Amino acid sequence: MSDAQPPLVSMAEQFTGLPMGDLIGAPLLAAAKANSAMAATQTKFLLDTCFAKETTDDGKDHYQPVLIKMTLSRGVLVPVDPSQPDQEPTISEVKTTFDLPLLTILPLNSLAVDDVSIGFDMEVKSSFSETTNEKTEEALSAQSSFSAKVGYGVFSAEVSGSVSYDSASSSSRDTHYEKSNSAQYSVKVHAGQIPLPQGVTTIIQAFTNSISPIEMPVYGEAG
Amino acid sequence: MFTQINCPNCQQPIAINVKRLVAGDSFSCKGCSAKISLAGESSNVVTKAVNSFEKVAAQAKH
Ligand SMILES: [Zn+2]
Repeated sequence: MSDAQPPLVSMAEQFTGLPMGDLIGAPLLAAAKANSAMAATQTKFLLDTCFAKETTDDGKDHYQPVLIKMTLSRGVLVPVDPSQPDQEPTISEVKTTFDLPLLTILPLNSLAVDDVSIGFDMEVKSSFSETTNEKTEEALSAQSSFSAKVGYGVFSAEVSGSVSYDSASSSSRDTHYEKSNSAQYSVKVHAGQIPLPQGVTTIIQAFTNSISPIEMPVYGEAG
Repeated sequence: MFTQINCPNCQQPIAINVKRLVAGDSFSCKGCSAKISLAGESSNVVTKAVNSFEKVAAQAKH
């Protein structure tokens, strides 16, 4: 009887037909291509706009960062002259200029492809058909009536024992026939924004750190 | 268009709206109340850079 059971489908086989490579790969590839194009654009923009190119005598290109002038102003407390104790301390505004590389004020990392998310759910279920179950039940009832006949005239205990055996068998088959398998796949692929290349970040950090310190006037030296 | 630079006085980050900076606005440091702005002599250079940056950024959206 168990030979009649249809085989459960192979989950792996069901998914083989799906073009997984295309489903996940195509959008990612498109995003990667766009990002790579943007990286080239970033570099070109960086060199063309934020650097001044000089070609040396030996024909080599030399890039100097374009510097812009910034003004920093802040209030400075002017201390009281010890010889004039009646004087009130005053706050005077001091202006200083400092150079800043142009590239530090442009949000270069916004020149990148936004986040890419690919998500889909797949589910494949496999179970036995109803017709198979019906056939099985008929077979079982025939078997149980057969058991009753066999048991007739023999010890009652033996008959009931036989029936209970059949019933147990039937219920165990039920369980067996209801067996199904299912597979659920949730595919989530996420590609985030590419940060600035480490080299660029390092250069910007170096520039930022080397902003020339401002000179504050010292009482008695001003003038 | 936003960016940030570290305050030359106290190293605290100062958020800057680049377009407003080009327009002449100044930005205050939260750490030491210093104000930074673009010096007039660099206005042209930064305006040109901002314009070409915006062109590149607009291409990126396509
Ligand atoms: Zn500060």
